[in-house]
Amino acid sequence: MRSPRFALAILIAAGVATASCATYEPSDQPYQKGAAFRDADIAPAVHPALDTDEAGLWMTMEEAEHDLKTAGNLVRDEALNAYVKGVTCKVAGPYCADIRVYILRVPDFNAMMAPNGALVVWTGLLLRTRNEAQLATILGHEIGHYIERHSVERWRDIRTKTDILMFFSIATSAAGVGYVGNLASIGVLASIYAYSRDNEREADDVGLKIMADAGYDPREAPKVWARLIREEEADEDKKSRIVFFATHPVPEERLDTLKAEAERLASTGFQGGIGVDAYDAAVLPLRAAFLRDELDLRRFSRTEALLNMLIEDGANVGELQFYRGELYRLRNGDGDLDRAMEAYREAENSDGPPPELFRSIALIHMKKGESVEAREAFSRYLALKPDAEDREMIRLMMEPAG
Amino acid sequence: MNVATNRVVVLLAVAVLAAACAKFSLVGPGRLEMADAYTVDSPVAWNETSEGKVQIWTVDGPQLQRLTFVNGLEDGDPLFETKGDSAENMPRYNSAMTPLEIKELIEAGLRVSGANQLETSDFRPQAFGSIPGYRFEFSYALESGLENEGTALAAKKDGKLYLILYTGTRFYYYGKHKDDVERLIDTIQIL
Amino acid sequence: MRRLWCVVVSAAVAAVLTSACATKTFQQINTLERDDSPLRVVLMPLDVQLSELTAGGLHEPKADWTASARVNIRDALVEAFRGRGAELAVYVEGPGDPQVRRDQIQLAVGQTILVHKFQPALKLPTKENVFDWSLGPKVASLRDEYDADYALFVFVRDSYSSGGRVAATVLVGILSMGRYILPGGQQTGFASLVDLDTGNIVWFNRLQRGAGDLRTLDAARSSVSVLLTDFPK
Repeated sequence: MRSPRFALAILIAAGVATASCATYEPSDQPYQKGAAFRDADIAPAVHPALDTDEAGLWMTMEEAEHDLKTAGNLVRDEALNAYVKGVTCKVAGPYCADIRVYILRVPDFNAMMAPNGALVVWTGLLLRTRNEAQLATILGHEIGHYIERHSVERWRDIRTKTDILMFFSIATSAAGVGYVGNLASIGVLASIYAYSRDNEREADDVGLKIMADAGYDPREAPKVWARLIREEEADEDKKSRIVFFATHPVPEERLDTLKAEAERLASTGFQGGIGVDAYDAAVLPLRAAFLRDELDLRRFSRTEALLNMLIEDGANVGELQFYRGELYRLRNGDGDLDRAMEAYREAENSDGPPPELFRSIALIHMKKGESVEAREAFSRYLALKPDAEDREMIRLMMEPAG
Repeated sequence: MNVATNRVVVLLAVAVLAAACAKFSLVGPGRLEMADAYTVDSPVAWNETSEGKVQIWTVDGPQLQRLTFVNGLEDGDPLFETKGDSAENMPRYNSAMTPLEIKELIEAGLRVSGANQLETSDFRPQAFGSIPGYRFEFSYALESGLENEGTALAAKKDGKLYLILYTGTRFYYYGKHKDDVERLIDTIQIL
Repeated sequence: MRRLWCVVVSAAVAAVLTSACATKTFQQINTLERDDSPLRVVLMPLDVQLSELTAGGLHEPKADWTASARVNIRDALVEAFRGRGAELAVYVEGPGDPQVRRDQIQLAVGQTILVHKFQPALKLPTKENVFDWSLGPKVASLRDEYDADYALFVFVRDSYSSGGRVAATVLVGILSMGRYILPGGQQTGFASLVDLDTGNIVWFNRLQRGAGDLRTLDAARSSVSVLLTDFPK
């Protein structure tokens, strides 16, 4: 059984364009519901015959998928899985039954589709799409790569050009990596296998159409990219690009094309939904865990920008302000203790801060030598969470020194 | 079965793996000195490999169970020494850390080293020989999904951090020497 | 890409793997316990993969070759066991966790054995003259499910070039990066026999051959007989 990483390497490895690929020109036909599926390069429910090279790839994928099912960082939450699968199915139309969705706990923005229909979504993506339409944008884009067989084409290219070990390197470092530190190197390696511009344009185009077919507002599509670009620009360290960008290059030109195409679709009188409530209902219960993963990366300027965007969006701001405070507390640079306390105070005055807020406030007081205030804050924490697993230690820390 | 398991990275730092390239030597049973700081009395023999401030003991193989000693971390030291990208993400110790922050440090270090679904429980004071320390239990899964359990004991001495971590596969190997580790912990003597 | 085993390991591994030994066996027992009824061994899902070595050095997994090899190895094993007066029951994979956990622990132990028993540089002093790895008593559920005395795990990797087998080179495969089989066309693997009452691995054999085409039943028979060298009676 091959590693799921191998399969997912193939996904990330969308590859370099071959000279023989014709340049992709988006059609300027008027919007026609279902047209994208009719023109697709792969019919639903197709399975290659056992002796083709595609079958070998398929077998590898199947075994990789077998491993994916037991991966340590697979998100097993039923409600979230049902939700993402549901959105995928809406967008995938007749291909719904061919696609299996796997959500992996990795704090970066990425989604990949294997040639056999396995779709992997990283939790870092769920933190960065704001609503169901934006999620549908990315899913539609990946489904576009799938139904136009871009991944299979990549595999053929790689077969003739690349050392399998390099391939495996990406496989093990890619997708679902528990070693958060690898994200920088994944990005570098993955970029070798980036989808071609033509593939990208085609996937954008198909993605927009099928998203619209499914009833989503295509004008949400360029907003996803805009948010990611904003986050990247805020990154002072520039240690690593968003992994998705490594394989899906986003020059400004694509963003403009996407906006124009979305407007064109919208102007045909098309009415599409956005879906904030359903999205929040599915993702908010798990958001704290994803934010904690984000902090582990210690990409503070970037995470700060992300948190600020999320605060602007306004869902459970108390939780977001708490994590903003945690960021400053962990960064522990000049003035950060005060910044942390300011964020914690905001959290106190907003919706839904977790009980841990008061534990962190207590820690700040302790650092400033304010033992009375520290004790008060610890007491509030314990009052809110009487069965806290650290209650014994905290009671000890509350005892007057000496 | 997958590559992740095969990568033989249980967790706890690439340094550990680099250390695993060194030969294993026999330690115990009996009283043993740890980094000029304390001694322990081990009821059983272990296979030891070490590098820098980290010592790893195992009976059946580091992928199955391991007793890890981190000896004398100083201000600014990463929790586990690693090479490569995760070195940047490895959180660092500072001597002003409270027990809560040290637990945070260990948890983040474990996650960055590859522990998935990390859960901790029962964070409580526990003596590290004659100095006050703290203890918690934890569990996690490797990339492959292989479930592991662990226990951590930490203490500060003269501003330096001393850690003892015992981890092993939930299936059989953690339990195999858990009692030996508890007995060993009871025999800590500060030098 | 960060290598997780250092160069020293690879070198040690290389030295052992290119040795002429076809197999190397460790065993705790020479005879299998049995009462009057025929011995029953449950054959766990075969972890077998065949690939083609392309001119560019790629290992291209071959679905049809692998499917044939799995069937051939299974059939050859069934024959071999019948010849020993034992029954081989084939495990049927169902949904749910138990088998996954057994697979995971079995692989972890198998790798540990390969690394620490077959590599002198990495040997564990406490295991010097001892071979006492176990999967633990929880495997007893297999005993009850299949009414079997022992379980057999088999792992094989092989690659073939279109022009025939390529000379063996370093097989870093199982030992360092797991399934990364560097160009070489070596047939490699291991088999382990587990006593289902105790979980103890009572017999462990490493396979390494430079010849034998698992796509044919004859070659599978011969590889199986090599794999079962020194199998307890």
